[in-house]
Amino acid sequence: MRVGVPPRPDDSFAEFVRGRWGRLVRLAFSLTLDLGRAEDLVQESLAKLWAVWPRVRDGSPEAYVRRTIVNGAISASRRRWRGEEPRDELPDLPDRTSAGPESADDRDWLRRGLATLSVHQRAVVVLRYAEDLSERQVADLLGMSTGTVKTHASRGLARLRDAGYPDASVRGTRR
Amino acid sequence: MTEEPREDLREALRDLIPDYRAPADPYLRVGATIRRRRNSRRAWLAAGVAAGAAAAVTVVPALAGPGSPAGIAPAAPRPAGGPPPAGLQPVAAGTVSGRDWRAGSLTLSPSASRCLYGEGGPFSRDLACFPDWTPERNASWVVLVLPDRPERKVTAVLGVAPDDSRRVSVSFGDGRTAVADAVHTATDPEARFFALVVAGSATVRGVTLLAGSGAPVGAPDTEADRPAGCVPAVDLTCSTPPG
Repeated sequence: MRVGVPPRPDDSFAEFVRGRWGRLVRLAFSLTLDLGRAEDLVQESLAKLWAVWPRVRDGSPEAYVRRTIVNGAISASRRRWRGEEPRDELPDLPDRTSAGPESADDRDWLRRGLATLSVHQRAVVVLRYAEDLSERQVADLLGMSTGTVKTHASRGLARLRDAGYPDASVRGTRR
Repeated sequence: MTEEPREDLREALRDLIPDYRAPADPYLRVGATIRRRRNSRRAWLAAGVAAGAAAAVTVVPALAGPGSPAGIAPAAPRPAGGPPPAGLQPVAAGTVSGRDWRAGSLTLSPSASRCLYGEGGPFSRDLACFPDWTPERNASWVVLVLPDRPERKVTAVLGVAPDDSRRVSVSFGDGRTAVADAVHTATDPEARFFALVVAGSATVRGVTLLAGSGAPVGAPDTEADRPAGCVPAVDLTCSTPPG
């Protein structure tokens, strides 16, 4: 039976934190849609990563912390008393401009559209299309079948279209 | 077939907050969280030890017999009330003898990792950790015989299982079988945790891992040479006493 405490994390952990922080906050924000909660979630997730750093350092620490962030966002959404219920009615919004996808209007529409998704739909859409994970990888991370992943992805994209995010039918010249 | 979104949607999802500015040194923030969590856990355990001087002591004996892990040290006494440990992830809940209980997973320290914590019902904030378990192994578990009501006992089984299992089937020496979900939590992405409580005092004959379909994953685990569980000390180290 192993006795004793493993070596403390070395500077490699600090380097990992500094190098990944921004990307992880962006991931957490896409799941929580709240910057303060996103930063807190990343902080807590990296603190948990620290506890197992000697074991995962040479493996996939980014996958570990990503899983922690996703599970943390899902758990938090269940705990909040308001919950995150997909809404059929969207708030009134001004007409969108036809500017490029980098415009603030489009990002605002996308954020509002994401807010209409259930937490699982949002997690699947973000992991599949922003993090470029495969259906299998998303299924393993979220503890669901690939069929469920496909369903969440399909419904999530449909809700984003219903929310008015630009699609191919609007931008006919783009594929 | 799932429709694929256009590249501009992918880019937009990755860049929802283009003006985000990270703190000057995010490691300082993470370090502060690490220290806060560590101090919170130490204070919680220290309070438990201090309160135990005047309060009843919860002793967690191991059961002899096949399939049972090595001896477990008596648990440090814990206060009857107070909040659960920070970072507790829900694993299971139930009712026994009309009293609700719940169990969660957490990591207390590098050596006290993959811990299961039980409270409510027959539990008195009991802890068992599995720092030596690895994903290549089968399940590891501890068996707790807990006082329930006067002259009545219950048996709790807390354990960790590999990721390819979805449920565990526990076979008891008296012929009973109980099934519990093996749950993924943020405590360890490579492990699943399980907890169940049955009435009466019982030995565990074996634990069978079950896939999502209900089919067994491998043969029932009855060997005693798996990594055993341990109970963390006040300094958050965790080791099983020689047995």
